[in-house]
Amino acid sequence: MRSERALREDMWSELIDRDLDLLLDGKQPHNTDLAPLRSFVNMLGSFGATELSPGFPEDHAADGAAMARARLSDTPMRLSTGRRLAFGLRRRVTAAATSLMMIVGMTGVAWAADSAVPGDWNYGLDRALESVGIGAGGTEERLQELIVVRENGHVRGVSIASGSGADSVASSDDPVVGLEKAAATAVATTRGSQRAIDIGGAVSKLLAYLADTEKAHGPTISELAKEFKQAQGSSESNRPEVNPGEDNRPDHAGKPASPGNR
Amino acid sequence: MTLGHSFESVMEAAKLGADWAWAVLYGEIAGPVTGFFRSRGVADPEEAAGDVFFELARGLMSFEGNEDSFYTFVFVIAYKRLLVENRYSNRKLRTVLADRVLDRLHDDAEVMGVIAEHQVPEEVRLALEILTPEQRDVLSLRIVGGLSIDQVAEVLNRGVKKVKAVQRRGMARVRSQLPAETVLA
Repeated sequence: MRSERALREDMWSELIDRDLDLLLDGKQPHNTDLAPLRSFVNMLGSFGATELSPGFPEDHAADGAAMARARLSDTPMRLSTGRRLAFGLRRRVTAAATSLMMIVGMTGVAWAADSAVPGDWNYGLDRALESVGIGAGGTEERLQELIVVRENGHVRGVSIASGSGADSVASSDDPVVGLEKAAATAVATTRGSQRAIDIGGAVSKLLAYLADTEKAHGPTISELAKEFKQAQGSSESNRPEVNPGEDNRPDHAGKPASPGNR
Repeated sequence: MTLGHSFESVMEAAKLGADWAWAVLYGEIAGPVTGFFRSRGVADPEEAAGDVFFELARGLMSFEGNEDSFYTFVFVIAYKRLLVENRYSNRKLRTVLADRVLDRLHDDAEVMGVIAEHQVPEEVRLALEILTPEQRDVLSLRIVGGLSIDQVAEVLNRGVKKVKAVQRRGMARVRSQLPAETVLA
Protein backbone atom coordinates (compact mmCIF):
# COMPACT_ATOMS: atom_id res chain seq x y z
CA MET A 1 0.00 0.00 0.00
CA ARG A 2 1.33 3.38 -0.92
CA SER A 3 2.20 5.86 1.74
CA GLU A 4 0.24 9.05 2.20
CA ARG A 5 3.32 11.00 1.20
CA ALA A 6 3.63 9.14 -2.09
CA LEU A 7 -0.02 9.74 -2.86
CA ARG A 8 0.39 13.41 -2.07
CA GLU A 9 3.37 13.60 -4.40
CA ASP A 10 1.38 11.92 -7.15
CA MET A 11 -1.42 14.40 -6.70
CA TRP A 12 1.02 17.27 -6.78
CA SER A 13 2.59 15.92 -9.98
CA GLU A 14 -0.83 15.58 -11.53
CA LEU A 15 -1.71 19.16 -10.68
CA ILE A 16 1.59 20.45 -12.01
CA ASP A 17 1.12 18.47 -15.24
CA ARG A 18 -2.31 20.00 -15.73
CA ASP A 19 -0.95 23.46 -15.11
CA LEU A 20 1.88 22.86 -17.56
CA ASP A 21 -0.66 21.76 -20.15
CA LEU A 22 -2.56 24.99 -19.58
CA LEU A 23 0.64 26.95 -19.91
CA LEU A 24 1.60 25.24 -23.16
CA ASP A 25 -1.88 25.88 -24.51
CA GLY A 26 -1.38 29.59 -23.86
CA LYS A 27 -3.70 29.64 -20.88
CA GLN A 28 -3.16 30.87 -17.38
CA PRO A 29 -1.94 28.16 -15.00
CA HIS A 30 -3.64 27.90 -11.64
CA ASN A 31 -0.33 27.84 -9.88
CA THR A 32 0.95 31.40 -10.21
CA ASP A 33 4.46 30.24 -9.47
CA LEU A 34 4.54 28.75 -12.97
CA ALA A 35 3.61 32.02 -14.67
CA PRO A 36 7.20 33.12 -15.31
CA LEU A 37 7.60 30.05 -17.50
CA ARG A 38 5.37 31.68 -20.08
CA SER A 39 8.30 33.76 -21.33
CA PHE A 40 10.30 30.60 -21.82
CA VAL A 41 7.42 28.90 -23.63
CA ASN A 42 6.94 31.92 -25.89
CA MET A 43 10.61 32.11 -26.71
CA LEU A 44 10.91 28.46 -27.54
CA GLY A 45 7.64 28.48 -29.46
CA SER A 46 8.88 31.31 -31.64
CA PHE A 47 11.36 28.89 -33.26
CA GLY A 48 8.46 27.26 -35.05
CA ALA A 49 7.30 30.55 -36.47
CA THR A 50 10.53 31.83 -37.96
CA GLU A 51 10.61 32.69 -41.63
CA LEU A 52 11.73 30.08 -44.12
CA SER A 53 13.83 30.65 -47.22
CA PRO A 54 11.93 31.66 -50.38
CA GLY A 55 10.77 28.61 -52.27
CA PHE A 56 10.96 26.42 -49.22
CA PRO A 57 8.95 24.25 -48.80
CA GLU A 58 7.35 24.69 -52.26
CA ASP A 59 10.25 22.97 -54.01
CA HIS A 60 10.00 20.01 -51.69
CA ALA A 61 6.25 19.87 -52.17
CA ALA A 62 6.79 19.58 -55.92
CA ASP A 63 9.24 16.73 -55.31
CA GLY A 64 6.82 14.96 -53.02
CA ALA A 65 4.03 15.21 -55.55
CA ALA A 66 6.35 13.96 -58.30
CA MET A 67 7.33 10.96 -56.18
CA ALA A 68 3.70 10.13 -55.48
CA ARG A 69 2.81 10.34 -59.18
CA ALA A 70 5.79 8.23 -60.13
CA ARG A 71 4.65 5.53 -57.74
CA LEU A 72 1.28 5.48 -59.44
CA SER A 73 2.57 5.38 -62.99
CA ASP A 74 5.35 3.89 -65.06
CA THR A 75 6.99 7.26 -65.46
CA PRO A 76 10.49 7.34 -64.04
CA MET A 77 10.70 9.93 -61.34
CA ARG A 78 12.83 13.01 -61.74
CA LEU A 79 13.58 14.97 -58.64
CA SER A 80 14.59 18.58 -58.83
CA THR A 81 17.35 17.94 -56.35
CA GLY A 82 19.54 14.95 -55.64
CA ARG A 83 17.76 14.16 -52.44
CA ARG A 84 18.63 10.48 -52.41
CA LEU A 85 22.08 11.47 -51.30
CA ALA A 86 20.99 14.27 -49.07
CA PHE A 87 22.69 12.97 -45.98
CA GLY A 88 26.36 13.84 -45.82
CA LEU A 89 26.88 10.60 -44.00
CA ARG A 90 25.39 8.62 -46.83
CA ARG A 91 27.81 10.24 -49.22
CA ARG A 92 30.74 9.23 -47.04
CA VAL A 93 29.52 5.69 -46.57
CA THR A 94 28.78 5.43 -50.28
CA ALA A 95 32.32 6.44 -51.14
CA ALA A 96 33.74 3.99 -48.63
CA ALA A 97 31.51 1.15 -49.72
CA THR A 98 32.09 1.76 -53.42
CA SER A 99 35.87 1.87 -53.00
CA LEU A 100 35.86 -1.32 -51.05
CA MET A 101 33.56 -3.00 -53.51
CA MET A 102 35.90 -2.15 -56.35
CA ILE A 103 39.08 -3.08 -54.53
CA VAL A 104 38.05 -6.40 -53.14
CA GLY A 105 35.99 -7.44 -56.11
CA MET A 106 32.72 -7.55 -54.30
CA THR A 107 30.65 -5.90 -57.01
CA GLY A 108 29.13 -9.23 -57.78
CA VAL A 109 27.45 -9.11 -54.43
CA ALA A 110 26.07 -5.65 -55.07
CA TRP A 111 24.78 -6.69 -58.45
CA ALA A 112 23.23 -9.86 -57.12
CA ALA A 113 21.47 -7.89 -54.45
CA ASP A 114 20.46 -5.15 -56.84
CA SER A 115 18.31 -7.51 -58.86
CA ALA A 116 16.56 -8.91 -55.80
CA VAL A 117 12.84 -8.53 -55.23
CA PRO A 118 10.86 -8.67 -51.99
CA GLY A 119 10.96 -12.19 -50.64
CA ASP A 120 14.46 -12.89 -51.94
CA TRP A 121 17.08 -13.55 -49.30
CA ASN A 122 19.16 -10.61 -50.44
CA TYR A 123 16.34 -8.09 -50.83
CA GLY A 124 17.20 -6.41 -47.53
CA LEU A 125 20.76 -6.01 -48.72
CA ASP A 126 19.50 -4.51 -51.97
CA ARG A 127 17.54 -1.88 -50.09
CA ALA A 128 20.40 -1.16 -47.74
CA LEU A 129 22.86 -0.73 -50.59
CA GLU A 130 20.42 1.58 -52.32
CA SER A 131 20.10 3.61 -49.17
CA VAL A 132 23.76 4.51 -49.43
CA GLY A 133 23.62 5.03 -53.18
CA ILE A 134 24.82 1.67 -54.48
CA GLY A 135 22.54 0.05 -56.99
CA ALA A 136 19.93 1.77 -59.05
CA GLY A 137 17.06 1.91 -56.60
CA GLY A 138 14.43 4.54 -57.06
CA THR A 139 10.84 4.32 -58.06
CA GLU A 140 11.48 2.52 -61.29
CA GLU A 141 13.17 -0.36 -59.54
CA ARG A 142 10.48 -0.45 -56.87
CA LEU A 143 7.81 -0.65 -59.55
CA GLN A 144 9.68 -3.33 -61.45
CA GLU A 145 10.01 -5.29 -58.23
CA LEU A 146 6.32 -5.02 -57.59
CA ILE A 147 5.53 -6.25 -61.08
CA VAL A 148 7.82 -9.25 -60.68
CA VAL A 149 6.52 -10.02 -57.23
CA ARG A 150 2.90 -9.74 -58.31
CA GLU A 151 3.48 -11.99 -61.32
CA ASN A 152 5.05 -14.53 -59.02
CA GLY A 153 2.00 -14.41 -56.80
CA HIS A 154 4.24 -13.51 -53.90
CA VAL A 155 1.69 -11.85 -51.64
CA ARG A 156 4.01 -11.16 -48.73
CA GLY A 157 6.52 -9.61 -51.07
CA VAL A 158 3.94 -7.18 -52.39
CA SER A 159 3.15 -6.23 -48.85
CA ILE A 160 6.83 -5.68 -48.06
CA ALA A 161 7.40 -3.65 -51.19
CA SER A 162 4.34 -1.49 -50.78
CA GLY A 163 5.39 -0.81 -47.20
CA SER A 164 8.70 0.56 -48.33
CA GLY A 165 7.91 3.91 -46.76
CA ALA A 166 7.95 2.58 -43.27
CA ASP A 167 10.97 0.55 -44.24
CA SER A 168 12.82 3.63 -45.32
CA VAL A 169 11.91 5.39 -42.12
CA ALA A 170 13.28 2.56 -40.10
CA SER A 171 16.52 2.51 -42.02
CA SER A 172 16.94 6.23 -42.30
CA ASP A 173 18.66 6.78 -39.00
CA ASP A 174 21.91 5.07 -39.74
CA PRO A 175 23.01 3.68 -43.10
CA VAL A 176 25.85 1.71 -41.56
CA VAL A 177 23.56 0.06 -39.07
CA GLY A 178 21.12 -0.55 -41.91
CA LEU A 179 23.84 -2.29 -43.88
CA GLU A 180 24.83 -4.38 -40.91
CA LYS A 181 21.25 -5.42 -40.33
CA ALA A 182 20.87 -6.27 -43.99
CA ALA A 183 23.97 -8.43 -43.90
CA ALA A 184 22.73 -10.14 -40.78
CA THR A 185 19.43 -10.80 -42.49
CA ALA A 186 21.20 -12.13 -45.54
CA VAL A 187 23.31 -14.48 -43.47
CA ALA A 188 20.31 -15.62 -41.45
CA THR A 189 18.30 -16.43 -44.55
CA THR A 190 20.96 -18.23 -46.56
CA ARG A 191 20.79 -21.65 -45.01
CA GLY A 192 20.23 -23.39 -48.29
CA SER A 193 23.24 -22.90 -50.51
CA GLN A 194 26.97 -22.65 -50.00
CA ARG A 195 27.13 -19.85 -52.54
CA ALA A 196 24.65 -17.78 -50.60
CA ILE A 197 26.48 -18.45 -47.35
CA ASP A 198 29.74 -17.33 -48.92
CA ILE A 199 28.16 -14.14 -50.13
CA GLY A 200 26.50 -13.50 -46.83
CA GLY A 201 29.74 -14.03 -44.93
CA ALA A 202 31.72 -11.77 -47.23
CA VAL A 203 29.15 -9.03 -47.07
CA SER A 204 28.99 -9.33 -43.33
CA LYS A 205 32.75 -8.84 -43.06
CA LEU A 206 32.69 -5.90 -45.42
CA LEU A 207 29.96 -4.20 -43.48
CA ALA A 208 31.65 -4.84 -40.18
CA TYR A 209 34.73 -3.08 -41.54
CA LEU A 210 32.66 -0.18 -42.75
CA ALA A 211 30.90 0.11 -39.45
CA ASP A 212 34.15 0.01 -37.49
CA THR A 213 35.69 2.66 -39.69
CA GLU A 214 32.75 4.95 -39.31
CA LYS A 215 32.65 4.51 -35.58
CA ALA A 216 36.32 4.79 -34.94
CA HIS A 217 37.05 7.50 -37.54
CA GLY A 218 40.14 5.38 -37.95
CA PRO A 219 42.04 4.20 -41.00
CA THR A 220 41.71 5.66 -44.45
CA ILE A 221 39.82 3.80 -47.10
CA SER A 222 42.97 2.47 -48.77
CA GLU A 223 44.36 1.12 -45.52
CA LEU A 224 41.01 -0.29 -44.76
CA ALA A 225 40.82 -1.98 -48.12
CA LYS A 226 44.28 -3.47 -47.64
CA GLU A 227 43.29 -4.85 -44.29
CA PHE A 228 40.11 -6.22 -45.65
CA LYS A 229 41.85 -7.81 -48.59
CA GLN A 230 44.30 -9.53 -46.28
CA ALA A 231 41.50 -10.75 -44.10
CA GLN A 232 39.56 -12.03 -47.05
CA GLY A 233 42.46 -13.65 -48.90
CA SER A 234 41.80 -13.79 -52.61
CA SER A 235 38.97 -11.53 -53.55
CA GLU A 236 38.01 -13.84 -56.37
CA SER A 237 37.14 -16.61 -53.98
CA ASN A 238 34.39 -14.45 -52.59
CA ARG A 239 32.78 -13.66 -55.87
CA PRO A 240 29.39 -15.27 -56.18
CA GLU A 241 28.99 -17.89 -58.82
CA VAL A 242 25.77 -17.51 -60.66
CA ASN A 243 22.76 -15.68 -59.44
CA PRO A 244 19.43 -17.41 -60.05
CA GLY A 245 18.02 -15.88 -63.18
CA GLU A 246 21.42 -14.87 -64.52
CA ASP A 247 20.45 -15.80 -68.05
CA ASN A 248 17.88 -13.09 -67.86
CA ARG A 249 20.19 -10.54 -66.34
CA PRO A 250 18.86 -7.08 -67.19
CA ASP A 251 20.66 -4.74 -69.54
CA HIS A 252 21.20 -2.17 -66.86
CA ALA A 253 21.27 -2.21 -63.11
CA GLY A 254 18.04 -1.55 -61.40
CA LYS A 255 15.81 -3.86 -63.41
CA PRO A 256 15.26 -7.22 -61.85
CA ALA A 257 15.40 -10.39 -63.83
CA SER A 258 12.22 -11.73 -65.27
CA PRO A 259 9.68 -13.35 -62.97
CA GLY A 260 10.22 -16.87 -64.14
CA ASN A 261 13.78 -16.91 -62.93
CA ARG A 262 13.30 -16.07 -59.28
CA MET B 1 -1.98 21.08 -37.48
CA THR B 2 -5.07 22.95 -38.44
CA LEU B 3 -6.40 21.10 -41.44
CA GLY B 4 -9.22 19.56 -39.46
CA HIS B 5 -11.91 18.00 -41.58
CA SER B 6 -10.03 18.69 -44.80
CA PHE B 7 -7.10 16.54 -43.69
CA GLU B 8 -8.49 13.35 -45.21
CA SER B 9 -9.09 14.85 -48.62
CA VAL B 10 -5.71 16.57 -48.61
CA MET B 11 -4.02 13.30 -47.72
CA GLU B 12 -5.91 11.45 -50.43
CA ALA B 13 -4.94 14.05 -53.00
CA ALA B 14 -1.32 13.98 -51.84
CA LYS B 15 -1.18 10.22 -52.37
CA LEU B 16 -2.45 10.78 -55.90
CA GLY B 17 0.34 13.28 -56.51
CA ALA B 18 -1.56 16.55 -56.40
CA ASP B 19 0.90 19.42 -56.10
CA TRP B 20 -1.52 21.58 -54.15
CA ALA B 21 -2.02 18.86 -51.53
CA TRP B 22 1.71 18.46 -50.94
CA ALA B 23 2.03 22.24 -50.72
CA VAL B 24 -0.69 22.27 -48.06
CA LEU B 25 0.91 19.45 -46.07
CA TYR B 26 4.39 20.89 -46.22
CA GLY B 27 3.04 24.35 -45.52
CA GLU B 28 1.63 23.01 -42.28
CA ILE B 29 4.69 21.15 -41.09
CA ALA B 30 7.59 23.17 -42.51
CA GLY B 31 7.64 25.71 -39.69
CA PRO B 32 7.43 23.31 -36.76
CA VAL B 33 9.87 20.82 -38.27
CA THR B 34 12.43 23.44 -39.21
CA GLY B 35 11.91 25.12 -35.86
CA PHE B 36 12.44 21.84 -34.08
CA PHE B 37 15.80 21.37 -35.79
CA ARG B 38 16.70 24.98 -35.16
CA SER B 39 15.86 24.71 -31.49
CA ARG B 40 18.01 21.61 -31.18
CA GLY B 41 21.03 23.30 -32.69
CA VAL B 42 21.11 21.57 -36.07
CA ALA B 43 23.58 23.37 -38.34
CA ASP B 44 21.27 23.60 -41.35
CA PRO B 45 17.69 23.23 -40.18
CA GLU B 46 16.16 23.63 -43.64
CA GLU B 47 18.38 20.96 -45.11
CA ALA B 48 17.40 18.64 -42.28
CA ALA B 49 13.74 19.49 -42.83
CA GLY B 50 14.23 18.74 -46.53
CA ASP B 51 15.51 15.29 -45.60
CA VAL B 52 12.42 14.77 -43.50
CA PHE B 53 10.22 15.81 -46.42
CA PHE B 54 11.99 13.37 -48.68
CA GLU B 55 11.53 10.49 -46.26
CA LEU B 56 7.95 11.55 -45.75
CA ALA B 57 7.33 11.50 -49.49
CA ARG B 58 8.71 7.98 -49.61
CA GLY B 59 6.61 6.82 -46.72
CA LEU B 60 3.35 8.65 -47.24
CA MET B 61 1.81 6.01 -49.49
CA SER B 62 1.85 3.57 -46.61
CA PHE B 63 0.61 6.06 -44.06
CA GLU B 64 -2.85 5.49 -42.63
CA GLY B 65 -4.25 7.61 -39.85
CA ASN B 66 -5.66 10.90 -38.76
CA GLU B 67 -4.10 14.30 -38.57
CA ASP B 68 -2.54 13.72 -35.16
CA SER B 69 -1.04 10.45 -36.34
CA PHE B 70 0.37 12.21 -39.37
CA TYR B 71 2.03 14.82 -37.23
CA THR B 72 3.50 12.11 -35.02
CA PHE B 73 4.66 10.27 -38.14
CA VAL B 74 6.44 13.41 -39.34
CA PHE B 75 8.21 13.97 -36.05
CA VAL B 76 9.27 10.35 -35.76
CA ILE B 77 11.16 10.94 -39.00
CA ALA B 78 12.44 14.29 -37.77
CA TYR B 79 13.67 12.82 -34.51
CA LYS B 80 15.52 10.04 -36.32
CA ARG B 81 17.11 12.67 -38.50
CA LEU B 82 18.18 14.56 -35.38
CA LEU B 83 19.75 11.42 -33.96
CA VAL B 84 21.74 10.94 -37.16
CA GLU B 85 22.90 14.54 -36.95
CA ASN B 86 23.95 14.15 -33.36
CA ARG B 87 25.58 10.78 -33.76
CA TYR B 88 27.79 11.61 -36.68
CA SER B 89 28.48 15.23 -36.17
CA ASN B 90 32.01 15.97 -35.06
CA ARG B 91 30.71 19.06 -33.43
CA LYS B 92 29.66 18.88 -29.87
CA LEU B 93 25.97 19.21 -29.32
CA ARG B 94 25.77 22.92 -29.34
CA THR B 95 23.82 25.18 -27.11
CA VAL B 96 22.40 27.20 -29.96
CA LEU B 97 19.04 26.92 -28.33
CA ALA B 98 20.16 28.92 -25.35
CA ASP B 99 22.17 31.39 -27.40
CA ARG B 100 19.42 32.15 -29.86
CA VAL B 101 16.71 32.48 -27.31
CA LEU B 102 18.81 34.83 -25.29
CA ASP B 103 19.90 36.83 -28.33
CA ARG B 104 16.30 37.40 -29.10
CA LEU B 105 15.51 38.42 -25.62
CA HIS B 106 18.41 40.81 -25.50
CA ASP B 107 18.26 42.27 -28.99
CA ASP B 108 14.70 42.08 -30.11
CA ALA B 109 12.27 42.62 -27.35
CA GLU B 110 9.47 42.78 -29.89
CA VAL B 111 9.83 39.11 -30.58
CA MET B 112 8.70 38.59 -27.07
CA GLY B 113 6.45 41.60 -27.05
CA VAL B 114 5.05 40.85 -23.67
CA ILE B 115 8.35 41.25 -21.93
CA ALA B 116 9.42 44.46 -23.61
CA GLU B 117 11.21 46.76 -21.23
CA HIS B 118 12.26 43.86 -19.08
CA GLN B 119 15.91 43.25 -18.59
CA VAL B 120 16.56 39.66 -19.44
CA PRO B 121 18.03 37.86 -16.52
CA GLU B 122 21.14 35.85 -16.88
CA GLU B 123 19.25 33.07 -15.14
CA VAL B 124 17.35 32.38 -18.36
CA ARG B 125 20.54 31.43 -20.12
CA LEU B 126 21.52 29.23 -17.25
CA ALA B 127 18.08 27.66 -17.20
CA LEU B 128 18.38 26.60 -20.82
CA GLU B 129 21.89 25.37 -20.49
CA ILE B 130 21.14 23.15 -17.57
CA LEU B 131 18.46 21.21 -19.41
CA THR B 132 19.47 17.68 -20.20
CA PRO B 133 19.29 16.55 -23.85
CA GLU B 134 16.26 14.47 -22.95
CA GLN B 135 14.52 17.47 -21.44
CA ARG B 136 15.35 19.53 -24.51
CA ASP B 137 13.90 16.80 -26.72
CA VAL B 138 10.67 16.74 -24.80
CA LEU B 139 10.31 20.49 -24.45
CA SER B 140 11.22 21.16 -28.08
CA LEU B 141 8.73 18.59 -29.34
CA ARG B 142 6.06 19.89 -26.98
CA ILE B 143 6.57 23.59 -27.47
CA VAL B 144 8.11 24.01 -30.94
CA GLY B 145 6.57 20.94 -32.53
CA GLY B 146 3.26 21.45 -30.79
CA LEU B 147 2.91 17.76 -29.97
CA SER B 148 0.84 16.39 -27.11
CA ILE B 149 2.39 14.33 -24.34
CA ASP B 150 1.10 11.15 -25.99
CA GLN B 151 2.59 12.12 -29.33
CA VAL B 152 5.94 12.98 -27.77
CA ALA B 153 5.93 9.63 -26.01
CA GLU B 154 5.40 7.91 -29.34
CA VAL B 155 8.10 9.91 -31.11
CA LEU B 156 10.63 9.23 -28.38
CA ASN B 157 9.42 5.68 -27.87
CA ARG B 158 8.95 6.32 -24.18
CA GLY B 159 6.09 5.89 -21.77
CA VAL B 160 3.66 8.72 -21.21
CA LYS B 161 4.48 8.87 -17.51
CA LYS B 162 8.16 9.11 -18.25
CA VAL B 163 7.63 11.96 -20.72
CA LYS B 164 5.46 13.80 -18.23
CA ALA B 165 8.14 13.43 -15.59
CA VAL B 166 10.85 14.68 -17.94
CA GLN B 167 8.70 17.65 -18.90
CA ARG B 168 7.96 18.40 -15.26
CA ARG B 169 11.60 18.22 -14.25
CA GLY B 170 12.70 20.28 -17.25
CA MET B 171 10.20 23.01 -16.56
CA ALA B 172 11.10 22.95 -12.88
CA ARG B 173 14.71 23.45 -13.80
CA VAL B 174 13.89 26.36 -16.05
CA ARG B 175 11.61 27.83 -13.44
CA SER B 176 14.32 27.62 -10.85
CA GLN B 177 16.42 29.94 -12.98
CA LEU B 178 13.73 32.53 -13.49
CA PRO B 179 13.21 35.25 -10.95
CA ALA B 180 9.65 36.05 -9.88
CA GLU B 181 9.75 39.50 -11.48
CA THR B 182 9.70 38.03 -14.99
CA VAL B 183 6.00 37.42 -14.46
CA LEU B 184 4.27 38.75 -17.51
CA ALA B 185 1.49 41.24 -17.57
